[in-house]
Amino acid sequence: MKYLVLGATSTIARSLVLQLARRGDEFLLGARDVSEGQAVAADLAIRTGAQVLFEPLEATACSSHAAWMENAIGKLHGLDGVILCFGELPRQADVSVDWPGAQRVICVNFAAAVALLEPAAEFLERQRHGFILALSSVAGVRGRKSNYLYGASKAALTVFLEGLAHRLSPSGVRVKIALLGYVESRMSAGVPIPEPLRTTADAAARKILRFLKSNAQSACIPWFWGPIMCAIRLLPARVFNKTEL
Amino acid sequence: MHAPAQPTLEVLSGWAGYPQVETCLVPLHRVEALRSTPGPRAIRGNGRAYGDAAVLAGGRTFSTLPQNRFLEFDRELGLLRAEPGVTVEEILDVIVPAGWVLPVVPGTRHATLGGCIAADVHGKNHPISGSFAHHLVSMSVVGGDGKKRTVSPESSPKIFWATCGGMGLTGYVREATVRLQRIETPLLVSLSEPCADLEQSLAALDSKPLEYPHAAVWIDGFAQGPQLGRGIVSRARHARASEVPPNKAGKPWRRQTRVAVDVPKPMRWNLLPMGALKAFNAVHRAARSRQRPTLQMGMSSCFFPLDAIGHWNRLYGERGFIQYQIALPERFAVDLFRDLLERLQAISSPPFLAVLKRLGEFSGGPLSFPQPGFTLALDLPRTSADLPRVLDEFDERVASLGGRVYLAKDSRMKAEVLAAMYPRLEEWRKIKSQIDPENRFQTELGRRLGLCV
Repeated sequence: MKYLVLGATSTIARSLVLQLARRGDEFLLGARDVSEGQAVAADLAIRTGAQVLFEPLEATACSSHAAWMENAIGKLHGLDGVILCFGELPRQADVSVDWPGAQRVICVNFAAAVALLEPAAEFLERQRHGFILALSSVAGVRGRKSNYLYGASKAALTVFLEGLAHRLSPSGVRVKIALLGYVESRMSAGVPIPEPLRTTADAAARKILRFLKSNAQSACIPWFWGPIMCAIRLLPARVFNKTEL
Repeated sequence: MHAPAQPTLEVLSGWAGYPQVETCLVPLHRVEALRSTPGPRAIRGNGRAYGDAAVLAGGRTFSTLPQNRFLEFDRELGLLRAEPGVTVEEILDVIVPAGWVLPVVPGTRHATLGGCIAADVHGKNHPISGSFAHHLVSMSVVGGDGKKRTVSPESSPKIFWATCGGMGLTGYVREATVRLQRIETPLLVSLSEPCADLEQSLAALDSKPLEYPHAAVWIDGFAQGPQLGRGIVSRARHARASEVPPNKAGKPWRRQTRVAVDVPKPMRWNLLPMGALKAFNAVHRAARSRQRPTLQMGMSSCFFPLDAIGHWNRLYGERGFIQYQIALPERFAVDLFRDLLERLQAISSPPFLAVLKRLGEFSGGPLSFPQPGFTLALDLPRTSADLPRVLDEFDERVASLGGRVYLAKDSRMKAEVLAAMYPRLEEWRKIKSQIDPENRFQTELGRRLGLCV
């Protein structure tokens, strides 16, 4: 199998590929940080016996993503699955007063995904098999004052992926949307996570892989975020707006 | 889903559960965090040091576990370059199928590479293979001054050896290259024999050392009188390909992750009643007294027997325990070990677990533990009020006889005896002040023993 992993140095991406990879698989990892990315690539190859390539990827450079994708698919000599893991979790108070910062979050979490996944979808659609797995967030279910910009960017990503799934369904290409809750990772480092809601990256990755094999199009990871976010969604605004979520 | 905030204080301890310290445990996702974070910091691997070697009260304790990438593995030459957070288990999983093994492993497969270096660990084959540091080709160390140095025994021996056994106080080991040992098969041939008393137990470690490079004596800490120090010597060596029966040959290496029992959450009470342990020790001795060489499928039962019980440290309850490991020159070993066991029994604090090993030559590290002679490691529940006083007394006796206490196990020793135990202490201090002039790298152990003041 030939996989493309976007944002491969993220904590969850690493857990995910280490569990996914089998001897003989081929990976191309894309990430911004070159030395980190190369270390992750070497580690994956040594631990699993997979063949691993690395390509620097600056998510914000959206206009070059089509060419990047073409190059990546060329280097892999094909493509069976795309796994999109990058994302940026800002401090809401910071981005509220900092437009460049806000723009960056929108660009990384949403625009970059569009710019990269459209050409990939095109390729998979023509080939008529393969999958796109993207990590979105339960934060996109309802805007909350603690992180509505992040939530909005992830909501946009989710809706985009839903549309992509709709479009690709006749071609047999699967689009899988993993809606993650709190995961202990580099991105969430320093975020005070309430103990019962905490999930390690390894555990989240295991659940994501199980979801990947299932028939569902989207899933909350872990599952209990489904009912929680459903309840949050259903709260009337006059009640919701008084909460501290 | 909330905004990033300051890491919160939590209660943390070493493997023995004592002492417990309030610290900020921060996963080291990016090495740059070491440079950008002000104030003192401790480096912690997988928390397998028994005492206070990897905690820092009030400061930040950085966990190296996210820094666990294999960077290079030369399958022909047997060289492995990796980051400090990889564990012995992860390393074996990668190298054993390729026909290699770590020349030196500690008693648990959960220790990290960084921890093995910081404690300069030894195995049951110390007389033959030396300590962990002897198999390091080079490593890169980020000192407290923020400078990254690549050090090897040839290029900069002083910093290299101060870091090996330096308990993580000289700096952060960013990566290290280890020279591996070839094996024909992942199987072991093991052999156990009973030893009737302390003399026999010590003597057993000197017979057949070359044939069986791995040897340790498990000692029944409850046996008294003429049986004091009785135990079982277990020896092991890697099996040759010709010794493997055809039905076992070619079987893939089985990952050694099996845990027979896992002890759940921290236990409030000590779950190891004295009577039951006494009985266990006697039964264990009788059961393990087979004298025929046996082919073992995995390495765990020989190298990492305690790992079969997940979180066995929790059995000691919330008060935790003390592991007291000392090394002594050969000529003083019998008498002192006997006095120690008798004394502990007299204060109703016999060791629940006692392990005796032979040690070969000195390691090159000024703070490295191994020295020629014997080493005895005792797991002591913290039940007797007399225990601290008795151990203090023995610290002094051990120091005066030219012996030492293993810092990776220590949680209670007083600073005054350290210089006598580690005569090259000043040499180490000089290097510490050279590459960590502001004492950025601190731990509770370092503070207690005056290693970072």
